[in-house]
Amino acid sequence: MAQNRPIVYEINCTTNEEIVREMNDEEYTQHLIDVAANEARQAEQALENASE
Amino acid sequence: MGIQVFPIAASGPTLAEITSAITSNAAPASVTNSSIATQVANNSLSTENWTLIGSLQTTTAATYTFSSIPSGYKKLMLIAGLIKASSGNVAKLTMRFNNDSSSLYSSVFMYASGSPDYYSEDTSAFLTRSNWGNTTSTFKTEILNGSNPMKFSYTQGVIANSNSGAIAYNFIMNTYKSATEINRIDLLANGDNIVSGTAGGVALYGAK
Repeated sequence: MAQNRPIVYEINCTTNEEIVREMNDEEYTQHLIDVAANEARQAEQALENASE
Repeated sequence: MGIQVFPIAASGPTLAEITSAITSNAAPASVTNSSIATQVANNSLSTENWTLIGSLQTTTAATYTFSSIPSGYKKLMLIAGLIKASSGNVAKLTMRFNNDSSSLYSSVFMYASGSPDYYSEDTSAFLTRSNWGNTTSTFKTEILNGSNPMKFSYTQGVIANSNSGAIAYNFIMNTYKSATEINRIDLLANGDNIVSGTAGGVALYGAK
Protein backbone atom coordinates (compact mmCIF):
# COMPACT_ATOMS: atom_id res chain seq x y z
CA MET A 1 0.00 0.00 0.00
CA ALA A 2 1.38 3.38 -0.97
CA GLN A 3 2.23 5.63 1.94
CA ASN A 4 0.36 8.91 2.13
CA ARG A 5 2.48 11.93 1.43
CA PRO A 6 2.73 14.83 3.89
CA ILE A 7 -0.08 17.38 3.84
CA VAL A 8 0.11 20.95 2.56
CA TYR A 9 -2.33 23.44 4.09
CA GLU A 10 -2.50 26.33 1.66
CA ILE A 11 -4.34 29.59 1.27
CA ASN A 12 -4.48 31.33 -2.08
CA CYS A 13 -4.10 34.93 -0.92
CA THR A 14 -5.70 36.33 -4.07
CA THR A 15 -8.88 34.25 -3.98
CA ASN A 16 -8.85 33.45 -0.22
CA GLU A 17 -9.47 29.80 -1.11
CA GLU A 18 -8.15 27.32 1.45
CA ILE A 19 -6.75 24.07 0.09
CA VAL A 20 -5.68 20.90 1.92
CA ARG A 21 -3.78 18.53 -0.32
CA GLU A 22 -0.89 16.08 -0.45
CA MET A 23 2.51 17.32 -1.57
CA ASN A 24 3.06 17.15 -5.30
CA ASP A 25 6.12 15.41 -6.77
CA GLU A 26 8.34 18.48 -6.69
CA GLU A 27 7.35 19.40 -3.13
CA TYR A 28 7.78 15.85 -1.89
CA THR A 29 11.26 15.56 -3.38
CA GLN A 30 12.26 18.82 -1.73
CA HIS A 31 10.62 17.71 1.52
CA LEU A 32 12.84 14.61 1.66
CA ILE A 33 15.89 16.79 1.08
CA ASP A 34 14.78 19.19 3.83
CA VAL A 35 14.19 16.39 6.33
CA ALA A 36 17.60 14.87 5.60
CA ALA A 37 19.21 18.29 6.05
CA ASN A 38 17.37 18.76 9.33
CA GLU A 39 18.61 15.41 10.61
CA ALA A 40 22.17 16.23 9.55
CA ARG A 41 21.93 19.58 11.30
CA GLN A 42 20.69 17.92 14.48
CA ALA A 43 23.50 15.37 14.39
CA GLU A 44 26.06 18.12 13.89
CA GLN A 45 24.60 20.11 16.74
CA ALA A 46 24.65 17.07 19.01
CA LEU A 47 28.33 16.55 18.25
CA GLU A 48 29.07 20.20 19.01
CA ASN A 49 27.21 19.97 22.30
CA ALA A 50 29.00 16.76 23.23
CA SER A 51 32.42 18.29 22.60
CA GLU A 52 31.75 21.36 24.76
CA MET B 1 11.81 67.71 17.56
CA GLY B 2 12.63 68.91 21.06
CA ILE B 3 11.48 67.83 24.46
CA GLN B 4 9.00 70.13 26.11
CA VAL B 5 9.85 70.88 29.75
CA PHE B 6 7.07 72.15 31.93
CA PRO B 7 7.84 74.40 34.87
CA ILE B 8 7.07 72.89 38.22
CA ALA B 9 3.86 74.30 39.52
CA ALA B 10 1.49 73.21 42.19
CA SER B 11 -1.33 72.78 39.71
CA GLY B 12 0.76 71.30 36.88
CA PRO B 13 0.39 72.26 33.23
CA THR B 14 -3.01 73.08 31.89
CA LEU B 15 -4.68 71.05 29.19
CA ALA B 16 -4.12 73.93 26.78
CA GLU B 17 -0.39 73.91 27.58
CA ILE B 18 -0.17 70.15 27.05
CA THR B 19 -2.09 70.36 23.77
CA SER B 20 0.14 73.16 22.59
CA ALA B 21 3.28 71.23 23.48
CA ILE B 22 2.05 68.10 21.72
CA THR B 23 0.95 69.87 18.56
CA SER B 24 4.11 71.93 18.33
CA ASN B 25 6.22 68.80 18.59
CA ALA B 26 3.97 66.44 16.69
CA ALA B 27 5.27 66.78 13.19
CA PRO B 28 8.98 66.25 12.62
CA ALA B 29 10.44 67.90 9.55
CA SER B 30 9.90 65.81 6.45
CA VAL B 31 12.81 63.84 5.07
CA THR B 32 14.27 65.87 2.27
CA ASN B 33 17.16 63.60 1.32
CA SER B 34 15.82 61.71 -1.70
CA SER B 35 17.81 58.58 -0.96
CA ILE B 36 16.40 58.30 2.54
CA ALA B 37 12.92 59.19 1.29
CA THR B 38 13.15 56.40 -1.26
CA GLN B 39 14.18 53.94 1.43
CA VAL B 40 11.28 55.02 3.62
CA ALA B 41 8.86 54.56 0.71
CA ASN B 42 10.34 51.23 -0.38
CA ASN B 43 10.00 49.81 3.08
CA SER B 44 6.64 51.35 3.87
CA LEU B 45 8.12 52.93 6.96
CA SER B 46 5.92 56.00 6.78
CA THR B 47 2.59 54.21 6.92
CA GLU B 48 2.75 50.98 8.95
CA ASN B 49 -0.77 50.45 7.69
CA TRP B 50 -1.09 46.70 7.94
CA THR B 51 -3.73 44.76 5.99
CA LEU B 52 -4.65 41.16 6.67
CA ILE B 53 -3.75 39.16 3.53
CA GLY B 54 -4.69 35.68 4.72
CA SER B 55 -4.59 33.24 7.61
CA LEU B 56 -4.27 29.52 8.28
CA GLN B 57 -5.99 28.47 11.47
CA THR B 58 -7.42 24.98 11.43
CA THR B 59 -5.56 22.13 9.77
CA THR B 60 -2.55 20.09 10.84
CA ALA B 61 -0.03 19.82 8.01
CA ALA B 62 3.66 19.40 7.23
CA THR B 63 3.68 22.64 5.25
CA TYR B 64 1.69 25.85 5.65
CA THR B 65 1.60 27.80 2.39
CA PHE B 66 0.58 31.37 1.58
CA SER B 67 0.37 31.36 -2.22
CA SER B 68 -0.54 34.02 -4.81
CA ILE B 69 0.36 36.85 -2.45
CA PRO B 70 -0.71 40.02 -4.27
CA SER B 71 2.07 42.29 -5.44
CA GLY B 72 2.80 45.73 -4.08
CA TYR B 73 3.42 44.96 -0.42
CA LYS B 74 6.65 46.59 0.71
CA LYS B 75 6.49 44.78 4.03
CA LEU B 76 5.00 41.47 5.08
CA MET B 77 4.42 40.22 8.60
CA LEU B 78 3.59 36.80 10.01
CA ILE B 79 1.94 36.60 13.42
CA ALA B 80 1.72 33.07 14.73
CA GLY B 81 0.78 30.84 17.60
CA LEU B 82 1.62 27.28 16.58
CA ILE B 83 2.39 23.87 18.01
CA LYS B 84 4.58 21.06 16.72
CA ALA B 85 2.54 17.86 16.42
CA SER B 86 4.86 15.40 18.18
CA SER B 87 6.84 15.81 21.35
CA GLY B 88 9.79 13.53 20.76
CA ASN B 89 10.93 14.61 17.35
CA VAL B 90 13.50 17.40 17.14
CA ALA B 91 12.88 19.86 14.36
CA LYS B 92 12.93 23.52 13.59
CA LEU B 93 10.35 25.55 11.72
CA THR B 94 11.83 27.02 8.58
CA MET B 95 10.54 29.45 5.98
CA ARG B 96 10.92 29.49 2.21
CA PHE B 97 10.11 32.29 -0.20
CA ASN B 98 8.72 31.91 -3.73
CA ASN B 99 9.13 28.12 -3.56
CA ASP B 100 12.86 28.77 -3.95
CA SER B 101 15.01 26.04 -2.40
CA SER B 102 18.29 27.45 -3.68
CA SER B 103 21.18 28.54 -1.50
CA LEU B 104 20.17 32.21 -1.48
CA TYR B 105 19.33 32.15 2.23
CA SER B 106 21.42 32.90 5.25
CA SER B 107 20.59 33.54 8.87
CA VAL B 108 22.05 34.49 12.20
CA PHE B 109 20.23 33.87 15.38
CA MET B 110 20.43 33.91 19.11
CA TYR B 111 18.28 32.26 21.66
CA ALA B 112 18.09 32.75 25.34
CA SER B 113 16.86 29.87 27.41
CA GLY B 114 18.79 30.34 30.60
CA SER B 115 21.84 28.17 30.44
CA PRO B 116 23.55 28.56 28.18
CA ASP B 117 22.35 31.27 25.83
CA TYR B 118 23.32 30.45 22.30
CA TYR B 119 24.05 32.11 19.01
CA SER B 120 25.06 30.80 15.60
CA GLU B 121 24.48 31.06 11.88
CA ASP B 122 23.03 28.87 9.15
CA THR B 123 22.01 28.74 5.51
CA SER B 124 18.24 28.46 5.84
CA ALA B 125 15.57 30.96 6.85
CA PHE B 126 14.24 30.05 10.30
CA LEU B 127 11.10 30.86 12.19
CA THR B 128 12.19 28.87 15.23
CA ARG B 129 15.83 28.09 15.79
CA SER B 130 15.27 26.31 19.04
CA ASN B 131 13.78 22.86 18.69
CA TRP B 132 10.20 23.84 19.02
CA GLY B 133 7.70 21.77 20.92
CA ASN B 134 4.22 20.46 21.45
CA THR B 135 3.03 23.40 23.48
CA THR B 136 2.30 26.78 21.95
CA SER B 137 5.14 28.80 20.45
CA THR B 138 4.42 32.38 19.46
CA PHE B 139 6.36 34.58 17.12
CA LYS B 140 6.25 37.62 14.90
CA THR B 141 8.23 37.84 11.69
CA GLU B 142 8.59 41.01 9.69
CA ILE B 143 9.83 40.82 6.10
CA LEU B 144 11.18 43.75 4.12
CA ASN B 145 9.85 43.03 0.63
CA GLY B 146 10.96 46.18 -1.16
CA SER B 147 12.69 46.59 -4.47
CA ASN B 148 16.14 45.98 -3.01
CA PRO B 149 17.96 42.94 -4.43
CA MET B 150 17.76 41.26 -1.06
CA LYS B 151 14.90 40.44 1.24
CA PHE B 152 15.45 40.70 4.97
CA SER B 153 13.34 39.31 7.76
CA TYR B 154 13.64 39.23 11.50
CA THR B 155 11.76 37.07 13.93
CA GLN B 156 11.05 37.52 17.58
CA GLY B 157 9.66 34.39 19.13
CA VAL B 158 8.84 32.70 22.39
CA ILE B 159 9.50 29.08 21.59
CA ALA B 160 8.38 26.16 23.70
CA ASN B 161 11.05 23.49 23.72
CA SER B 162 9.78 19.94 23.22
CA ASN B 163 12.58 18.15 25.00
CA SER B 164 13.12 20.16 28.13
CA GLY B 165 9.76 21.89 28.45
CA ALA B 166 11.67 25.16 28.79
CA ILE B 167 10.89 28.42 27.07
CA ALA B 168 13.50 29.86 24.70
CA TYR B 169 13.45 33.43 23.44
CA ASN B 170 14.51 33.45 19.79
CA PHE B 171 15.75 36.40 17.81
CA ILE B 172 16.52 35.48 14.22
CA MET B 173 17.64 37.52 11.23
CA ASN B 174 17.29 35.99 7.78
CA THR B 175 18.35 37.23 4.38
CA TYR B 176 17.10 36.03 1.01
CA LYS B 177 19.30 37.29 -1.78
CA SER B 178 16.74 37.78 -4.53
CA ALA B 179 15.24 40.86 -6.15
CA THR B 180 12.03 39.02 -6.97
CA GLU B 181 9.02 40.23 -5.04
CA ILE B 182 7.69 37.62 -2.62
CA ASN B 183 4.54 35.95 -3.91
CA ARG B 184 4.64 32.77 -1.84
CA ILE B 185 5.72 31.84 1.68
CA ASP B 186 6.02 28.27 2.91
CA LEU B 187 6.38 27.32 6.57
CA LEU B 188 8.08 23.94 6.77
CA ALA B 189 8.00 21.52 9.71
CA ASN B 190 10.95 19.43 8.43
CA GLY B 191 9.74 15.96 9.28
CA ASP B 192 6.98 16.88 11.70
CA ASN B 193 3.61 18.61 11.45
CA ILE B 194 2.36 22.09 12.26
CA VAL B 195 -0.75 22.35 14.42
CA SER B 196 -3.00 25.41 14.73
CA GLY B 197 -6.12 24.62 16.72
CA THR B 198 -6.17 26.24 20.13
CA ALA B 199 -2.71 27.68 19.50
CA GLY B 200 -4.25 30.15 17.09
CA GLY B 201 -2.64 29.60 13.68
CA VAL B 202 -0.71 32.02 11.55
CA ALA B 203 -1.79 35.23 9.87
CA LEU B 204 -0.04 37.11 7.06
CA TYR B 205 -0.26 40.91 6.98
CA GLY B 206 1.07 43.33 4.40
CA ALA B 207 1.84 47.05 4.24
CA LYS B 208 2.13 48.97 0.99
